[in-house]
Amino acid sequence: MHQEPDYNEITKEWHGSLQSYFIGFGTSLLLTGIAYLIALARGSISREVVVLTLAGLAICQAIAQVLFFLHVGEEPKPRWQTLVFLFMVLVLLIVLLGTWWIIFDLNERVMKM
Amino acid sequence: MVDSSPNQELTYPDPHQDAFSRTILGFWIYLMTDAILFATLFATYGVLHTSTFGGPGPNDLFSIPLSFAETMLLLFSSFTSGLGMLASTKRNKGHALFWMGLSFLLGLSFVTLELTEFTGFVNEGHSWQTSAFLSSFFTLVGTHGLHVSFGLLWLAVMFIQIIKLGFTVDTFRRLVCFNMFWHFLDLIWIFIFTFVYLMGKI
Repeated sequence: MHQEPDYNEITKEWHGSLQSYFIGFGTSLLLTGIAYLIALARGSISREVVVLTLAGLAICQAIAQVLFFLHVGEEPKPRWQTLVFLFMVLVLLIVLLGTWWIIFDLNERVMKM
Repeated sequence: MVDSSPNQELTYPDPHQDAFSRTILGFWIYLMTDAILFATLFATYGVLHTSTFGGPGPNDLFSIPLSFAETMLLLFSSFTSGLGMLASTKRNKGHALFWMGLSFLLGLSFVTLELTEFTGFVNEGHSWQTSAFLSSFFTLVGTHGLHVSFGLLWLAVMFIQIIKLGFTVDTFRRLVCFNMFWHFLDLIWIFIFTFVYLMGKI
């Protein structure tokens, strides 16, 4: 049996650093600012292009925060946290894309007035 | 010479076997299930956001500057709570309490702004009973706001614990969990800001 680690050892298991927080924060500020400006000054760009761009920016920012704020993928092996995270992404995609697919297919078939 | 140990490279502390690692992993799994809860609410909103039943739609109600202000408050709060964690690893009580207090005030401003927005909608007669769009909007954004409110309660409790108990293995573990929770809520908000507010206006 092993002993429980003390405070200094515990703090070493936590992976945050000042640098990672500043990178995550700067990236988030930049991407939010760009999204805000695009939505405000859209002009004559088509709706599809704007929606796809905004979705892309949101996903980039989410990835930056997952890496630099939540420190996914930095824990020692075996990487259970990363594995659980990826499984969540899989379930999430099934829920979102599955809903999208079923509901809009139903719309096509039933809701035609 | 034959070594009998199967994990020769594993020196103390054995990763993931202590109470700290097990709690963090458990709390992480809770956060992932919470992400799936939010995914179902986003899916519901995505399906219902055009069903306004003759009432106002996203474009009539939402204000981009207001939701941008909320986004900034939550992002800054997430950042300052991270700085509080860094101070905690150095056992710097003054700095940790300062950053935690600042995160609390930023989070409180976020909730206040959101409640102002909600009461504004309801007072104009656009409550969750008006249309399927508004029901799904209040459910999605309200669930997030409720999470943030409970996060504020948790942060206040942690603030008192750090004053009374100081930095121990137990309080640090709770701080790490709280910090994960807080970053996670900011992550969810990115999607609310983009898919509900920004896309509602374009």
